[in-house]
Amino acid sequence: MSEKKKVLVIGWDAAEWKVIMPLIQQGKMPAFARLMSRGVHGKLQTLDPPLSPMLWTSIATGFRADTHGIGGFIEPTPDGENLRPVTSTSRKVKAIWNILNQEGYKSNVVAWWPSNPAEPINGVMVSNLYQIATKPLNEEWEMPKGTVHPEELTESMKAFRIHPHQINLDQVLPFIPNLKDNIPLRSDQRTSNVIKNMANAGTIHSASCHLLEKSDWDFMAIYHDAIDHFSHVAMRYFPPRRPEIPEQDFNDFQHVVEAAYMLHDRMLARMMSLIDEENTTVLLISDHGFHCDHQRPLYIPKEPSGPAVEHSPYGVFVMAGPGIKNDGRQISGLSVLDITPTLLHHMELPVGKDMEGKVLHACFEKAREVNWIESWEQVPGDAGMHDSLLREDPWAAQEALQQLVELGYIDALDDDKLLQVEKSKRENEYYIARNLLNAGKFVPAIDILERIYSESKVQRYGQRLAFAYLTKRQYRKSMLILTELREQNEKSQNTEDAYDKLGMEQPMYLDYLEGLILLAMNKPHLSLPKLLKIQEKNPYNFQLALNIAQIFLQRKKYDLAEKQFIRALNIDDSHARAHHGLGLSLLRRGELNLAIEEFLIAIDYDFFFHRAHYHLGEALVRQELYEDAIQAFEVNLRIAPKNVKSHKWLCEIYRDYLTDETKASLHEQQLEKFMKGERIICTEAIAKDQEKVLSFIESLGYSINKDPKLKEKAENLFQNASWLEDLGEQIVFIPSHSLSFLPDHFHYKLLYVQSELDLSPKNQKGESMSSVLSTKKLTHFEQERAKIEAWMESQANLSTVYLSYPEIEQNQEEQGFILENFLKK
Amino acid sequence: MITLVTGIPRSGTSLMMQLFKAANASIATDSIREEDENNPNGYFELEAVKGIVKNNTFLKELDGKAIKIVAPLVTFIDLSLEYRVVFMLRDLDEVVQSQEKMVGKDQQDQKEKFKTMYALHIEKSRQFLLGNQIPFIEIQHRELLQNPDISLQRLIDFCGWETPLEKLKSVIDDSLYRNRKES
Repeated sequence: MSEKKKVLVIGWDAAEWKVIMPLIQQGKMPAFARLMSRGVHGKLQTLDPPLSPMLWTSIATGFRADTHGIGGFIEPTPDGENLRPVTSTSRKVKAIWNILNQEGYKSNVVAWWPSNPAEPINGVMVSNLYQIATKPLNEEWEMPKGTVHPEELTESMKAFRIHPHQINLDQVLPFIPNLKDNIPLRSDQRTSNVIKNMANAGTIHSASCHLLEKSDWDFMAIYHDAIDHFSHVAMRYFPPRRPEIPEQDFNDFQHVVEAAYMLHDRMLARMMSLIDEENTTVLLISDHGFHCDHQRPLYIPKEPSGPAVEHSPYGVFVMAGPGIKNDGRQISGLSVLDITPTLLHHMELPVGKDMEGKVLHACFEKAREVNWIESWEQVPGDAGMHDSLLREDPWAAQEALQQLVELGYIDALDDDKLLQVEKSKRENEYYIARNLLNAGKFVPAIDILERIYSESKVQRYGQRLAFAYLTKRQYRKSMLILTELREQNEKSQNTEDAYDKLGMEQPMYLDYLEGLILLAMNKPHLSLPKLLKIQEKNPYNFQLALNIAQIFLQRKKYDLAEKQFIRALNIDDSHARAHHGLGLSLLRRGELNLAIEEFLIAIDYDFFFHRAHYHLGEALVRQELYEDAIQAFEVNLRIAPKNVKSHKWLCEIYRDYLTDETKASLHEQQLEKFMKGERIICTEAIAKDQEKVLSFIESLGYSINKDPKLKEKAENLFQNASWLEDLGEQIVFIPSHSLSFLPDHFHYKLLYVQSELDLSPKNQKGESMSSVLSTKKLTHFEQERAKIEAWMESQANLSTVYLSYPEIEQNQEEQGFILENFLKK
Repeated sequence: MITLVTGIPRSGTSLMMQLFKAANASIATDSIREEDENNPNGYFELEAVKGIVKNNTFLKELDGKAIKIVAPLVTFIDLSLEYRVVFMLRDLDEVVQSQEKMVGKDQQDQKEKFKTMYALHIEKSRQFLLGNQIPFIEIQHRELLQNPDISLQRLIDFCGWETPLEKLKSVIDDSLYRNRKES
């Protein structure tokens, strides 16, 4: 083994870039700024649901909750009747400190969530119950059993605890300046919470500094929950003040969040002073962010984990130290699941193939092959974990206990308490199901949701189930659940607090869901009005604006799509998809420079968003910037190697513009690997001459697809395109609005049937077309023609011939010759 | 000295209690739980055991007696008293099948989960006995029924009984072995 690398991981729960960056610009977080400048940083994508015990365990293991076993905040007690905070013994897999233990590393872990009882690692573990003051200052403040490992350090670690009553007025004033003169404010619950959070942060910091300085360690992980807690108390008062926030409350508590971040920065500076920066890699992360702007919710749902609605989807990631790029660059595509694989790779240890995260190669100065291992779980040796007898699934244990009751061996459990345990169990399963949905594991998620919804009829469970069905394209089932939820909702209208009683997730969610189902069923004309109506009441819903924009984009209404993408970006300008969508609308409207700009921003936010690279390439081709386009398509192929259209573009660029036949052939070969042959498509902007043209083609001996269900199939191309596989050489008519759903793995020959409108502004009688057609029809025609043209422009795997019936009538022989030449193999 | 008969429910603990009865051992039972089709010869249980998690003081009154306490609950005994333990073990598939029949509902989808938990309960109880230096013997249910001589002799030796082996053997009624796993 090469020389051990020292690693310090600092976790700031809920730290948010949108708070940090302005503070850095004002010089209020110098330690953080310094760390950023000498390393790499980026947005760390959270998982759904954004609940801290699940997330910090995913961070420490590289697994999602269904595998690591921490499904929520609580679990049943061994007697099966009560609930307690989730414990370390419920974790089913090794955390990074267990792996390091096996490899001979010495670790310290402070306050990680969940870590009680502390694990018997080679080093010191101080559990997440350490900092909680359970008694008044003047009473003996015992630590819960299992707080410190090794146990003999328990007494000495007590000395670092700070009781909230030890925080003095001067220390609190930066958080709440009005406390100086406002005596009643001192007994406000929010003030008490701020003081408690300060004490907790101080306790963790003192213990951490002591261990950093006085103990030997190779790996140290410190977790602070205070930013999350300060934010839940006071982010609503963070400037700017929203009209709903009372002015006095704003004046009293507006400084809390800023002071909390500055406190953490001072703690960071102190920690940095205690380590050897030259030889220690520092990783500072948060599990999710915290909405701090106009996206701050006005209502916290009265449901378990309701406050999580305040969490935003991206946490912070900063990594600096030996072996890490040191130019302060931003990197992208980071997930909380990537932390453990990346640290293992950094420490030159194998990465488990079963881990769900990836190694973040962009962090490292020198690229190095990943050393893989099937699974760390199978590696024998002392991992510093609890005895296997202690590690049990608490929910399964509770069920086994209930079985004993049913068998008559123990007293029946208290019904009310049991009900609470059962409710909590379902809630935990709900979180696991959401986590599975988030991972795209729909089948097991649906299994759970079907069961817990049928047992409880809780609206939230039903909503997720309907959403899961929708994603699996089980529209009928989705609609059935939706109808049931609506009925349930109507019945509860008269009750006092229907919202609370039914545990609803957010107002108008059912309408939103219906809009999405209709959209998925290719009924945008029905979906759109619903979604627009919802948008009136939810003007700051980013996802809604994005969905509406996508509908407009799909319907080729680029100017309207553009407006909605801009609206989405006004809500949150850091989303790659919204920038990409805006770029695509601009590209289709021919605004190439602006489109390129948006694609570049999208890439900046999410480098691994391959569609942005692809469309950037397309825009660059149209700008005749072929070298740049090549780069964009090459990157696209590295991220999405099966994107045949990139190969097609590259082949075309090398062959037609750069006359590099070698490279063109190379891409052609790649292309052929993926392509499944050629299909001949006929289309027309408005149905007028298609039948006559198709009869003419048939008269030349070509086969026309006359499947009676063809119209329906072509309309549903977005759902099912598999029937194209069996077409062979038959020519098939596809309406212009379905062209964009044609799959990429065919070469297409397009027979574009043009009408008189395409060819001349006047008809054969010399009449102006605008006088023959109504304005409405003319507009429709122009829209449909634009769709065909836009699709044609975006296709690399396409060749086109233009046909018109008037020309065929005039000169059958010549038109036949043109067509035969075009269709020749 | 209190003799504890333990094991996962439906692993032959009641059968063992019948052997104790045949050996004229003093048994702690209040006969509140009556025999039924699952245990036609009775359960030999004490109602107080059901509440042992919260209150184990009743054990103080049981010196010299044998009492049945199922496996996970045995870890709640009062450690200030003196014990010896007969630990019944049975194939967990058979245990789960027998329990399913007894509770009268389909538990097929929970079978693996229960088996894992019961294996853990057995190991926990075993470690508890070892850790607290409580003497115990393990009797395999299948062996006791199919080839009882060895198991019964071990039992006689462990408990220091003078009862003839043949008398104990007559207790064992192979027809009770109803949930045998198909090999």
